[in-house]
Amino acid sequence: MDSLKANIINEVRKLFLKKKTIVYLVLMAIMSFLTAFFIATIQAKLIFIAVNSFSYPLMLLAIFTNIFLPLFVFMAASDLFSGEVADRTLKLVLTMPVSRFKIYLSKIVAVSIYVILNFILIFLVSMLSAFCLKITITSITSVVVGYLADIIPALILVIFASFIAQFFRSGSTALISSIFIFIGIKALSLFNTLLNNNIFTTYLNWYSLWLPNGTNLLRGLNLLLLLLAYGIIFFTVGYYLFDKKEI
Amino acid sequence: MAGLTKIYKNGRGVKDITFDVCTGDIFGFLGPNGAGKTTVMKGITGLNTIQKGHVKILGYNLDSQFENAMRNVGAIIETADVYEYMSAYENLKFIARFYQNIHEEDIDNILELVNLTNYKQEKASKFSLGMKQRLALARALLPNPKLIILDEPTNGLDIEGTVQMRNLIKELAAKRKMTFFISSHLVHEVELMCNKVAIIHEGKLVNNGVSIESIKESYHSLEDFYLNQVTEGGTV
Ligand SMILES: Nc1ncnc2c1ncn2[C@@H]1O[C@H](COP(=O)(O)OP(=O)(O)O)[C@@H](O)[C@H]1O
Ligand SMILES: [Mg+2]
Repeated sequence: MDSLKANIINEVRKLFLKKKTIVYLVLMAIMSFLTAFFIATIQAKLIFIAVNSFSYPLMLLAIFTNIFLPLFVFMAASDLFSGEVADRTLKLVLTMPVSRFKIYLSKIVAVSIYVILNFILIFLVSMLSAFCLKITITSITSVVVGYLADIIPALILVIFASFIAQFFRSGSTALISSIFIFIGIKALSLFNTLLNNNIFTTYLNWYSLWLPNGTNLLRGLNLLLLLLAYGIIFFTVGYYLFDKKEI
Repeated sequence: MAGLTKIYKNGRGVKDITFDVCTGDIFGFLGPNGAGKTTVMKGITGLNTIQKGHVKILGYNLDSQFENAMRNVGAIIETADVYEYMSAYENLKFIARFYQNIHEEDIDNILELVNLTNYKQEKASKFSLGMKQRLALARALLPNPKLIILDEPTNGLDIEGTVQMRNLIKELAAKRKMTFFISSHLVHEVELMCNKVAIIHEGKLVNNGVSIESIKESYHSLEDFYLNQVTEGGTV
């Protein structure tokens, strides 16, 4: 247990010792604010756009979960797995008194912590800028629920990214491949409804799919089970590959 | 009491390697480039999976008790790598988090031992090769392990660095009762540094750990012994 905790701290430190991790967080905050600024300007000029159902923090959440989140997750997972194979530092932790299972788990936890920090940051910036720029938010509860709910598919995405990273021995190859695989899945689901309904990438912003339209809890539960199934499969296979990895 | 290591390995790399390293040994693992030294060391530290055989370190089975086995091991395998984007201090702090009994002054002491005190807060990416090698050694030594595994520790070092490394290893073995398992492709280095030697040739063990003193009694030098053993047991 102690070695797991030690390595989670180590992996989080690794992420945050790299400048780009912080830079991306700052960029996200700036982007969130600029979006708010843009909306406030439009609202001031065209009053009728400010319809009741419009909620700026949730719109930002949709943009973040579908575009920026996958990028950040793929970047962090590529760094912590494939990047360390490339710069030969993976062996530094593999020869420590900590099992491979704990190493695999702690890397996933570290990326997850980074992801959750992103959610918190965007939530805070969007709420603050909405307040400062006097953008009306219809229901704060639904915003909070929306942000909390969307963390779940984000964590499944972390597990998926870690699985993909096992196939590559260089951080940049892993990153580029992950992005292409993600775009590929997205493109295929445009044409195939069956795939679209059953692949986890469709539900990165799942909150917008089940809660606002009549609080369909059963559909929510169904999707949760689907996401968990993806999580378990990718975690198991990813760990298997990591455990067998020869350095 | 005994630092015990056994390996039998099958497959592309090395085959049926069996030997014991005993507490207090500076055990030389001698063989030409490509003989399989690194492969064996990766097997001992769990970086490679072993197809056959088993490894035991200080009574712990590497397979089933990995964390306990590795708690008393410091290792530098293949190349002396460190986290380049971290300072010397951060690099050592990483190790310290795995052990309850490593304090800030231990980190300072180890930095002093490898002559890096003035570079504590400097990023390792700015270090010279020799400095990186010393930092890697500091990482291996920090937990005060009972067994230290070094893969060609003097590779890439200049003459002065080589002598320093050799003296440091001898000093640590004598003063801190550390056991060393050191690979090398240089006969003279093993002769000067170690008290026991095992020779590996083309993935097979030629002998499994004889005292260098006894070799010197029967043969003119370790070099003669090596040539004798390799031509006798190795080829054809
Ligand atoms: N990952 C690998 N895949 C296939 N062959 C390998 C691998 N690593 C090493 N070898 C081969 O195994 C043999 C032993 O290599 P190695 O253990 O690195 O030798 P040494 O460390 O004694 O120089 C060499 O012939 C080498 O080509
Ligand atoms: Mg080697």
